[in-house]
Amino acid sequence: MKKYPRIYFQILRMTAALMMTYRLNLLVQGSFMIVYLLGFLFLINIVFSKTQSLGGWTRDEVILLFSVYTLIWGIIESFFFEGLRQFSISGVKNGDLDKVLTKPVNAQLLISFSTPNPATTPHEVFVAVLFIHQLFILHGQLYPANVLVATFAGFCSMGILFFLYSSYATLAFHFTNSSQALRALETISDNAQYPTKIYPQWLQPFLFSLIPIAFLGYVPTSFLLGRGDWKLLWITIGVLIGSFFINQFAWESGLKKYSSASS
Amino acid sequence: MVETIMSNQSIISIKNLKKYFKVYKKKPGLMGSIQSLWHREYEEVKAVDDISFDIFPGEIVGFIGQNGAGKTTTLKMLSGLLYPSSGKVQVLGFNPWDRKPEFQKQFALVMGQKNQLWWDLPAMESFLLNKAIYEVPDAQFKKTLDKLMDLLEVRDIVNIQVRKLSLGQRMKCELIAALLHNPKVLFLDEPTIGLDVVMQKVLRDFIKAYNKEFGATIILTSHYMGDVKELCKRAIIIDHGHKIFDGELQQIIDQYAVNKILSLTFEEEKSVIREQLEKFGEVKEFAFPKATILVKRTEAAKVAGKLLAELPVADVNIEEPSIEVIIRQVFESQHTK
Repeated sequence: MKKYPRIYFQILRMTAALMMTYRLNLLVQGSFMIVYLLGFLFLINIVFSKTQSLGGWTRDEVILLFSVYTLIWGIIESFFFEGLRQFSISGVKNGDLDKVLTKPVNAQLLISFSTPNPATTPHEVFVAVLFIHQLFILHGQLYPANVLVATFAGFCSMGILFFLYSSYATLAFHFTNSSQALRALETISDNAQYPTKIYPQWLQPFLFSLIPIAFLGYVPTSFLLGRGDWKLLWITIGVLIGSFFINQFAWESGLKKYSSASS
Repeated sequence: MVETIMSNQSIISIKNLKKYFKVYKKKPGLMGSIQSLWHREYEEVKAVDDISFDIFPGEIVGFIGQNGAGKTTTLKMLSGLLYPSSGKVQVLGFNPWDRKPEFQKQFALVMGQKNQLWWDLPAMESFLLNKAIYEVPDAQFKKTLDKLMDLLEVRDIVNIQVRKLSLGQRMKCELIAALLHNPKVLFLDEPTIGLDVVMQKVLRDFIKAYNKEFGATIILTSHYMGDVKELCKRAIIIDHGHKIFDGELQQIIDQYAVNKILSLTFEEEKSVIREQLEKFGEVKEFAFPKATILVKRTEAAKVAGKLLAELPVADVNIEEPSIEVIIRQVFESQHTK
């Protein structure tokens, strides 16, 4: 099982070398994300100057939720979202999948994780500082058991997001403009920085399934703050298992339809 | 349980392989585009239609066909990229589209028109990635890489960004990336496409050397008959998805070459006119003192004797037509059928 860490280490090495070749890109992308982060904090301060809570969450809790969301989204962006995006744009249409499918490796993992995005790293460090700061502020609400469950829920959430986003990426097997689906999910993901409870009741089931933004921040943060219950935990595990099978089915059936591209 | 279809000792076995694609036919122009929004016509394209053959260890087989004949589609099925519509395939005892790692570690597919190297990085980085993917031990990697770099003379370019290499240099690096794990079976899809004659020759020599050194079985598709002539004893010709010939290259000549070419040089002090030659065969070229005549294969020796007896011939050569011409005749004869 040392094979996959070795492959990933080499990919990271290559990506880092690539990013350093285009250093200005790195600088611009990193700076842009930090501006976005400051923008959110500014906005949330304006919102909380008019109200005491948002969907039952205090200002500090919302900022913690935001930092968890930004960390999870950053991890997704850094590790697999770009790979999925590239796949949905050219993997099937241009036959780029050919060069992966013949390799003795899980092709879906390779395409997903072959385009890491280290440009988010400075941003991640900044958010990690904010996250730790919020933990100090809210330490009265934190218990070791909650931290453990939240960590578990965080890993489950990342699994769910990987499987569901991968399933959306497999739409590329069926129509050429499938990258729009991932772009839409990316845009919608901004809404994960607010508690899921603020959204209408009828919409909430979708936020735990088709548009899985609840797992981007709300679920792990709820457990961290002791707001999560058994029902939420079982939903998380159930969605993880379901999304795994959906992804397997979507990938396998897509491959059967794959016709490569003319040479 | 995989049912064995491989005949005695064959390394690749194909039985009644078919691959049909459903292709959308769009009418031209804006109206055609608008109509296609609610009504679409589809056509079934038989890319590969009932092909069977066996390939044995160590063979280099030329896979010949015009554009769209089904060569690349067959190679893609052999390497597990495409599922066939029907038929059976076994490569090294595996069903390719099961995509088992044990199988994938034993073959390589090189497409002349596609690259696997990372464009903005030196080729060496891609070699290291393949080393990790194929789990090549350090010592074997070093040994193989050294050997391949020497054979292809690329030692000084593997640390230069791929996008800064010439097409030929890039192709050499592509080959190295594909061969680092010492595959037993190699599918080469037009590896010399776009290369100049010198580079074509270098790659041919390399393929020949690789086959000899590693005993690899190679299927090669190419539009350059030079590749096939120089590398392959055996050729498989496919046309519109059908196999129309499978055998030694010499057999193609025996079977399909209708004519032989008589190249004549006349004595310069005597005069010969074109009309004198026409009774012997079809005059292809005439520029005294040289002429080229096409004569029936079966009568070539007899006609040459008559020419020597009746005309002031200083030199005569009986030649086979070029393989390109013969293959063209093969396709033409198929289309007239």
